Amino acid sequence: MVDLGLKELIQAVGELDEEKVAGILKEFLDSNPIEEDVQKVVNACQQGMGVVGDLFEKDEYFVGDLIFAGELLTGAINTLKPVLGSTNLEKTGKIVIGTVSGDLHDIGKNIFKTMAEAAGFEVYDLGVDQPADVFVEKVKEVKPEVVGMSGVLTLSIESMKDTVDSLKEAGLRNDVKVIIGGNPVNEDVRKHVGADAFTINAATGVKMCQEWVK
Amino acid sequence: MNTEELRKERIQLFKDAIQMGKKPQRIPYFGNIWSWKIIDAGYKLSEALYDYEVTEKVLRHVFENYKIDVLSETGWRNPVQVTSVMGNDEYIINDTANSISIKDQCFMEADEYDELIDNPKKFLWEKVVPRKYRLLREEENNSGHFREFLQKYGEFGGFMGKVSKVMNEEYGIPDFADSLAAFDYWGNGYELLFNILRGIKGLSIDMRRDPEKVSAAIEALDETFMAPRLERGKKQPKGTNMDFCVDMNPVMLGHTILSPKQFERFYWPHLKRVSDFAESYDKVVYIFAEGESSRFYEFFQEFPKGHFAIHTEQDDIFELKKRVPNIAVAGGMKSSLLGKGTPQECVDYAKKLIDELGADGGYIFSENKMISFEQDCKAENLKAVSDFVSEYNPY
Repeated sequence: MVDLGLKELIQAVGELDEEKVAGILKEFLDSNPIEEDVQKVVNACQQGMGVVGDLFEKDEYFVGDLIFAGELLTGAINTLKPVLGSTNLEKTGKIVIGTVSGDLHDIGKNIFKTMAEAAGFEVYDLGVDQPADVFVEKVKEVKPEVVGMSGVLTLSIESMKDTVDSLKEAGLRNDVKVIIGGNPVNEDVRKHVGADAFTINAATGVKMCQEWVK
Repeated sequence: MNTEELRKERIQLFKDAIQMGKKPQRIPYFGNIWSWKIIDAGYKLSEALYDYEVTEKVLRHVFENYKIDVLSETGWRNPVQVTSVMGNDEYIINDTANSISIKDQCFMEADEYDELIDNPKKFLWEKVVPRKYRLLREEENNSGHFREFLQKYGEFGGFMGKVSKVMNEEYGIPDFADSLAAFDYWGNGYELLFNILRGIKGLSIDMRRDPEKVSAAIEALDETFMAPRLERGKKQPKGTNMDFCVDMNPVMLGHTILSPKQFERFYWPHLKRVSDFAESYDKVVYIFAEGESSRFYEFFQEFPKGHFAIHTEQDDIFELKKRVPNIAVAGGMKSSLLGKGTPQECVDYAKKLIDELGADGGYIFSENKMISFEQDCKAENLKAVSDFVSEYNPY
């Protein structure tokens, strides 16, 4: 794999050019890559996702594009699976994520999960409609650096707050960074919930997590 | 004033606000109040949703306690008694959290576009209906389940008729839109793909992988479901129907995932047809637009003046008013304030909305979000705000 190929890959992922990404990855797999190059290719996909996140911030991409980006990334990782299996990828950190109690929406959470995994995080996905004590138990068990809570309904705000309060009660709040995501979140909600960060952009959210675990 | 006069006055308020020809007597109040009212009336969600008598008590509770001019949801939104007899368990009612959720469902695969495009009605009946309703897939007693559905549907229709009568005759509350000409998402091919057939994820992917097929499907669905509604509308007398507040009330949900370019291709042709119809036949249209829509203002600017209101959920409503002066705006009363603020703070904000947005009359007061959950609103805040709006005359 040459550097030029990586640049092309970053660009193709950023442009959400699915066919081109598939072509580059196929060529890469055919070359019997060494472990180091697999890591480089995964990093390039991740950087491409960073481009997607930037374009979302600039209002050039919208929610449908982020959803498609998640799908494209899942496809890329699946394509790389035969070589990923034997590769010891760098692990960035651990994240526990879930959609909070009373809310069943999972699309945003799932995009975040795909992107976080591609960024090297071990992601523990609790699923949807998860009460505070389930988050607390998982945090006790896996000791993550980050807890991510997702929600779309306005009622999810209170569920997020309950979860943060439960983390505090369990004496775990200072051990983790908390990020919230979804339709109703903003700076006021972040303060009310007691989270460290909020985002409506999965790619940006993953970047924040990367900063935290540096 | 008797209730019939009151009903007519309220209808006129909406017409004046949207047509922007003369200022309304006062700013109309569209009560954007959904499942919250059940809890406010002292019932569990399941108690009301499975018992029409309780639903009626809930509605009476709203009309007797809050001075709104129209109510967005009058028992039609969650017809669980009808859908459950055919085995659709899409509704998840949680009486502990006082929440109701609807599972995301999509009933069409990506490789079925050709079949849908070829004959949308056949596809819906033969593929979608059995997938949506579990009991209709069973070979045994299939017709029995369908008969039970028809009976429940009849009861539901009877109840909705009763609600309309109670609202109109006892409280002077008008029906908002003519249900025969309703433009819910059944009248919009794109929204059908988004909400029922392919879902948010499937459609997002399809639009990038096979935009031609998506366009063709929207066109086929619009021809099947929208065109007959427009034809029916054209046969009605020209001019707005004075028995209802508005002639059409489309909802915009699926635009939230689109770029302006995608909107132009997949969504705007539908809205343009509605727009042309409204202008030619002098109709009044009220659109509820979920999420944030500011990237589409250039399109909204093309709506003919005096025919459209847009109820925004998350836009900066002051900016919407400024940049799209050809339409009336609705919404603005923040549910976050209604849920956490004091009555005085809420009234102060309501006054600001009316003073700044209602100056030319093109404003309909309403909550920005659908008031659904306990924390979306405090009863004393809604009372204070509705008292204020019903009495305040900004002119």
